[in-house]
Amino acid sequence: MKYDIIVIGSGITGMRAAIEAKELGANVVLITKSTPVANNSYMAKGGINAAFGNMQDEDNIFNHTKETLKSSGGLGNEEAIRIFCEQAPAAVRELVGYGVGFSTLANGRIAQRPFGGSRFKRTVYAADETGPAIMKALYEVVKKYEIDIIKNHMAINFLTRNSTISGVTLFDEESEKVVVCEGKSVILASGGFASLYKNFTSNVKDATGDAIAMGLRAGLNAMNLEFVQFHPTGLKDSNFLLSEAARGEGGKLVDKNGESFVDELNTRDFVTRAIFKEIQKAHEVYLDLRNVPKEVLETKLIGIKKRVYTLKKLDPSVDLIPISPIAHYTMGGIETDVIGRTSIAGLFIVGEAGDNGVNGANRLGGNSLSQGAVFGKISAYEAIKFANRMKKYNGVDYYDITRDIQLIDKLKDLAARVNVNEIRTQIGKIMFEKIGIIRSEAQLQEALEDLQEIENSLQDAASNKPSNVKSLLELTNALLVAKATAKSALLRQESRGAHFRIDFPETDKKFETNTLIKLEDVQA
Amino acid sequence: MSRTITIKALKYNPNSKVSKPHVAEYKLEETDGMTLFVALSKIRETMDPDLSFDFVCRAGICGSCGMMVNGKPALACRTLTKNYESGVLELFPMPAFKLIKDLSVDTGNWMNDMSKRVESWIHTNEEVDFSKLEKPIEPEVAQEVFELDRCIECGICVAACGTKLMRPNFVGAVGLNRVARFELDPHDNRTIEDYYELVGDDDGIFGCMSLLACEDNCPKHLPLQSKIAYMRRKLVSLR
Repeated sequence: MKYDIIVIGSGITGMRAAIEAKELGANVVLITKSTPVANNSYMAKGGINAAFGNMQDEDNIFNHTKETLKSSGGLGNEEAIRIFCEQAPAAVRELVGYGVGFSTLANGRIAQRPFGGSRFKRTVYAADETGPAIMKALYEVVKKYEIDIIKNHMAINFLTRNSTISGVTLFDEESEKVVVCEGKSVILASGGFASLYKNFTSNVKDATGDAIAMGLRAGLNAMNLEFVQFHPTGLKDSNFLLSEAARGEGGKLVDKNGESFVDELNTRDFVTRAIFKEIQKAHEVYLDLRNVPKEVLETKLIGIKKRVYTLKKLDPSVDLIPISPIAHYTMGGIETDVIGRTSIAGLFIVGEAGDNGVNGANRLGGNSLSQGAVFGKISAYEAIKFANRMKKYNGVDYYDITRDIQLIDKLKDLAARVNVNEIRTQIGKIMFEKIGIIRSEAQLQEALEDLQEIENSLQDAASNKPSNVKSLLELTNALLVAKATAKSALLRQESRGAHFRIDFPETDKKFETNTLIKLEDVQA
Repeated sequence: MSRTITIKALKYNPNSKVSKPHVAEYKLEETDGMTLFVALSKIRETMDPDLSFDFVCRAGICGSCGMMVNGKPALACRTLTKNYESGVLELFPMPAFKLIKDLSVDTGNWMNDMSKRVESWIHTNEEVDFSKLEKPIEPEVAQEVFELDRCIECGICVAACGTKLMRPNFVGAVGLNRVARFELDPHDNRTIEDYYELVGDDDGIFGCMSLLACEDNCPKHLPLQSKIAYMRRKLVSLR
């Protein structure tokens, strides 16, 4: 297989990149490890930020920039944030052009709602299912342009020669073989790793940090992995997320006596820690939607209302909804420059997978979808410029392919005797308890030991419950990323943004810099 | 009030030469608020790692986990086991789609073909100019379009459809719903004549016999039948 541009990942970033590349005339392929709907963009509910100023004049690009910068906790890259905030309104307008049906105001303009971490009404939405509305429209455009989609193929490693990208190796789930896809440039947008917090996450099961593992193995730096955003309001004992929109529309966070203990619309990390402290004191925490007007519950929040009723038999207009925080978004990723370039020429890593500094230590709610739309588009533009300069394919080193075939053979052997589901559950528990909302040196060390133990035990595992090879490849990536996250969290001996160390509870000026980690550091 | 539930599931791999279709039986303790998805995951984790079923989001958003539960199509992640008084759940893959393995069917390619068939994207000649304000849309219209956009393409309306059994090429409620959605959307410049070209035949809007199973089983409670009836009236006026 040979293409000008290879896009890996079918979330908003990947689809937007593929569409842009196709519109500019490139020969492009979209590769996804399961199906095009299996992504977190599809799961996003609340909305997409763009400073239209349709609700109030103070919602302008200047204030969007200021608030994004503030929430980044001193680690944000000003240039990336500026580009992002300036481009976001155009990016959302483009989505309208692609057929996304956003909710509108009485005068016909696009409606915006308040969201966590922001003082202004900036978040554009399609009722309470913004992500699906956007992704469906983009997927239809992909079909219309007849962009090649390769499903059920998981990227294993980058192929490079002379520090320039020449393609990727893929694992075909059906034939269980290694497939080579050559490309002049590669856009990797395969998402973050919050699903490693299995059973404590809002993410789809596929977000296993594959991009970060691939990057580390290719010798790139992983940046700021310790910043994992926990969403304050997951429905207790389930994976269902009660969107920020619920609080934006007037929902309150209360204890069992109905008393408020935190400002609901503060940044996510602040609210999460306040809830976590209540939970540590063995107090139940609830979301109170009883004061939200009935017509809002019936329209903008209808999805939440129905879902809470099916799962818990609770009626939000009468009952309190029990909640607990869940892992939601990973700010860190492979280090890139502002527009997603890496030190491998022709390789772009964008969206949640890469870290260009636009989120720093924490992300503002509603920013991620617009970041995907903005940087997906820009990276496609840059990738095409690179591909055009390349003229011909870079060529593949066959040693690299043999290496991956051997890797898959090894995994096939392991797959016959390892129960991946069970191990992933263990990893999820370790990560939530020891690399979770509140961390300490002792816990992080313990986590590293536990993870190492799991890795060692794989060799002589003898479960009579075999797994499939793809899940084992994911597990390999997961273990690497989990360890890298614990190491990064150990290195940052302070508390900042989404990273909170109980042994270093203050923010320290000395650490106002990015945590960089390499494969050697993880294995050391 | 914990009880033991019995889950029976079809196991068959059409790609394997040795695999024979049979029903496997699993028994497990019911937990509080247990959904069928939770039960199946538990089975896969502790009893039978080989059992195939699809899921992605676990929250009724992605539309991957449609299957037949005691004869009716439903999303596994939204089906509470406690609603089945007998405690016995018989699971089969959805008909009308290609079987991949066990409970896993290929809705994706079918939906792809459907999308292309009804050209389910915005048709417009207007160039989008990002420096200008976008065209205003009435909030009621936006809300109505969005309501139809809630469809998650899970395939349940197709699996439930009696017409689909008779007419293999029937586009299904999902396809007709897409047409209704674009007909409503002021961004789309297609006329009723254009839609007639797409679905004005017995495999489209005139095939539906109003058996209502699509709407009865739709996990998103879309107004499928009233939309089909509306489109039918619109299109029949051209005949």
